[in-house]
Amino acid sequence: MDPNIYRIVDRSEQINQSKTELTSEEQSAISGYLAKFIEHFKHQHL
Amino acid sequence: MKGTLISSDYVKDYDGTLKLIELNTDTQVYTSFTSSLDFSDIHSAVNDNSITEFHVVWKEGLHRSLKTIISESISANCPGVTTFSHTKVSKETLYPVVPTDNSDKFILRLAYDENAILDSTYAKKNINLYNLYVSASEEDSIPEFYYSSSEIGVIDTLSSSFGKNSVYDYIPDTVLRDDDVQNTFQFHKDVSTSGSAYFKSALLGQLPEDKSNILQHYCFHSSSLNTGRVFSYREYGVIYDTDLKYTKLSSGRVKALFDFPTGSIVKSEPNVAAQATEGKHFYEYTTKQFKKYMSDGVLRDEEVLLTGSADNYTHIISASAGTVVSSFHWDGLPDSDDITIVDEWFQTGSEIPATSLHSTASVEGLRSNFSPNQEGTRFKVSGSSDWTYVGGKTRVLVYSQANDTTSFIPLDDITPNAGLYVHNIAAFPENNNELLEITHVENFISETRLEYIELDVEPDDVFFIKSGDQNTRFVSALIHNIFLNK
Repeated sequence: MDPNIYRIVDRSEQINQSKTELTSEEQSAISGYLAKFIEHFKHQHL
Repeated sequence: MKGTLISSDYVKDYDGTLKLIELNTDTQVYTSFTSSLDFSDIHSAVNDNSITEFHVVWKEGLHRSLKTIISESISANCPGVTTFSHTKVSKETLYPVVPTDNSDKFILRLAYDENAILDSTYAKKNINLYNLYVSASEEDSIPEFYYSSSEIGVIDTLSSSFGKNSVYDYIPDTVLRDDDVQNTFQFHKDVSTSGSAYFKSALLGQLPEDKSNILQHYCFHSSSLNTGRVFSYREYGVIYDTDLKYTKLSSGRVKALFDFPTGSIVKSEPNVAAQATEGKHFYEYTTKQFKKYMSDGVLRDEEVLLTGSADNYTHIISASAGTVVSSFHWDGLPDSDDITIVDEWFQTGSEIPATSLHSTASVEGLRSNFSPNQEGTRFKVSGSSDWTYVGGKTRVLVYSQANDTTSFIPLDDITPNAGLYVHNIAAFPENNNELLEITHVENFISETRLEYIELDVEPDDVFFIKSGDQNTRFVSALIHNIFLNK
């Protein structure tokens, strides 16, 4: 008996999932979070 | 010099601020990002340090195309590099053998390594990542959350934003993550009229005690209302050198695979204030892509071939220890339950070795698992109207026309209409080369939970499942013993 299917995933859509560029504010926030991570990581482990 | 590829994911909260939700190694670069990868800092590190060998540690199924992109980029921009080498790591490997580092070598690791603190502490366990920010009093960088364990204690930053989504009937208020299991999220919605404090109390009372749970505020921003889909933000980068430099390779905003629902999303359990949403909505409330190799085994209602006649099948859920099933002694196939050995085995050509034999095997063990988020995988062979449902991790014996090899391949790595065939072993020995092309492979989401059954059969480690019906002639796919690494 086949399962009752809710959605089929289009593999090609998944592979070709588009992206949009970040705003400068968004990019700046991400860069800041990663810089903090590396700083705290160094503090803990180096 | 060593480097590690990472990705980090962010969501936008109700107030427009981004929150870091996870950091990953062993990450796959989405196709939409590959054309904008910037390796210039890596080129500089290689050229400035007189590197002559560039080495990549990678996994098939995740990193093949990226390895090629890196190779071409290094070749075009690093004239001092005379050797581009690589280590291919099996899908299941936790401890890859990484070459010895030295001053004229750059080793870029794309694959997971349990020995690396970055991987086993911060990528594997979100609570450790979150706790790093909490310990530094930088809770604003991450979603508000609640966590409790004997090891770490109680962390509770759920406060003002909790309940901010109550203005949307179809957007969850919280996401509950099992920190021990990938991609297992549960979303909850406050259906009470008693306020967020009551909802929080009700939710905490429902938390299973035996799991490593992180209860997070579900971050949602009104900008998603314009498109009907939620967004997340992703950046790929490399952490490298002994002083942990970081370089961004690419970043961008991606959307969910599906629109979020606009109708009722809860299961409507009576007298429950914190209602769990239906599991089928996972790919509407996250921007995750279908992750490979998440389920192993055969869907419980599929049929396994018993002995006696060519159409003597039983549902795999009906099998038990001692059940005798049809098996096959494929001459040359190593007798091993080590998945690495199974994955490395292949034979040239499609013909079944004439010295092979039909055989029987006894079921020595069974176990079941439910696929995360009600997701499944299925395939169909030429001439068949029936789908066959096995987990994406399940190894199916396949002949590849392009490589002229026969080997076991996880269903998630099988592309339809790509010259990949299953053997009709029922026709052996009269016909030792009857092949049926795999014409369809699909990922799907079920309305209900999907239970997969794994069998351990011995002495030959293979059994058959029904994979089609051409008129009255049965066709079976040969499945490798799924109790691997037992």
